[in-house]
Amino acid sequence: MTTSVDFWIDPMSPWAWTTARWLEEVQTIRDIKVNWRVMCLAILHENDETPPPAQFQEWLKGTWLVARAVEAARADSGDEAARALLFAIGRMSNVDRNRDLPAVIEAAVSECGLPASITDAATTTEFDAVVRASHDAAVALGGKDVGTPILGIPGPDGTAVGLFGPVVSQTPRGDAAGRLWDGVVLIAQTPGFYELKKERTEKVWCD
Amino acid sequence: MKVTFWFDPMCPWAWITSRWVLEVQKVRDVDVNWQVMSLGVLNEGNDSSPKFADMIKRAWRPVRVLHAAQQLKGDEILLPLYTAMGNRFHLEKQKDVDVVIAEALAEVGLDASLAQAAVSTDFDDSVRASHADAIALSGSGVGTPVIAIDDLEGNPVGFFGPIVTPIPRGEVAGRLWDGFVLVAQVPGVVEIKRTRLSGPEVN
Repeated sequence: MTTSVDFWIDPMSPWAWTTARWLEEVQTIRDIKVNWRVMCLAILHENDETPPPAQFQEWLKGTWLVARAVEAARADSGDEAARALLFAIGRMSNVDRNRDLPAVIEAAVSECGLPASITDAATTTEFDAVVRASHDAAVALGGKDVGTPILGIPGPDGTAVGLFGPVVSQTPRGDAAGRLWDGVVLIAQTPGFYELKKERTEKVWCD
Repeated sequence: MKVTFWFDPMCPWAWITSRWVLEVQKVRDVDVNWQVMSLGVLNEGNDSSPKFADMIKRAWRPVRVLHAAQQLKGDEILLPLYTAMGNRFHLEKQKDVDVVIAEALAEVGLDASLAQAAVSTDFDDSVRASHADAIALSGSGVGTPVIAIDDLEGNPVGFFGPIVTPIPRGEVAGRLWDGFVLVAQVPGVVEIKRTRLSGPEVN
């Protein structure tokens, strides 16, 4: 039976990008269906006790543009269009390291064959409520003090539990991707599992 | 499979994970090397509150005694002495560290004079060295316990955790173990986490 999982990502996060790429790989070797959803780093940082540095705040504003564009694509053309746009923006930002975000969004919208109105929607508040609802659903499942991505996966009693991660510094492929999936499933099914962690000493590698 | 498990006996979360490891040994072929790490070292320089600072200061005592016992009796003494201490700290809620040490030493048949190590710095270097072995694998920004196995190429990989409550038992414990091994042996994995919704249930 196909396992349906929800995956919430802010594609501007390189550490979430590596996990998204892993999950894409898992889809080819395990019987899962991923619902690609958005969350937003700007919302995650709204309630920071100490406000982030000005430069980072400016960067965070851009994460709103991305999330709005993805939801605009979903409203216009459905889930598959949203997924395609999410991955196009993520690739251009994390792999090609294009830092000109408005240009990235415009190019990604064009690459996905979506109407230019999607690009325009990124700069309006039209989809903010939809973005917030999607983000809130992720946080409701994974918890407030974690980050992006959140994986919603069947838990001990079959209802979904939310896990932050698995955070990976490089994307596992092939057999390693499958083993990580199998391990995450077992961990998610353990009642009361909270944390497995090591310090991030390696740089994140996006491809 | 060989496992190394570093604990501080005063940490309730490490206690739960250690009891899980004992459950795993009933259902999987796992050989555990028990070692000490230290809340005192982990929290050096953290003086967030006087109460916390006092707890951290007291946390040096049991680990010094554990190392005094280890030097005398070898690694094999660490698990029984940890269990004797942990039962008192976590199940009996004994707050007096010196009472815990004295009773635990008696329970495992060690000389009461070993308790003197609690207030001496003789074993601090040895505790620090053991702690450093754990941190070399998990990194310093985490906590206790640290658990390590070999990856598929035979290199050690270590993580903080798994943090879980209540103690997984039987086959549930076995499946968490299987999941841990699968995840830990994939290169590049650094974190899986949920917000903690409840405190540690130590029994």
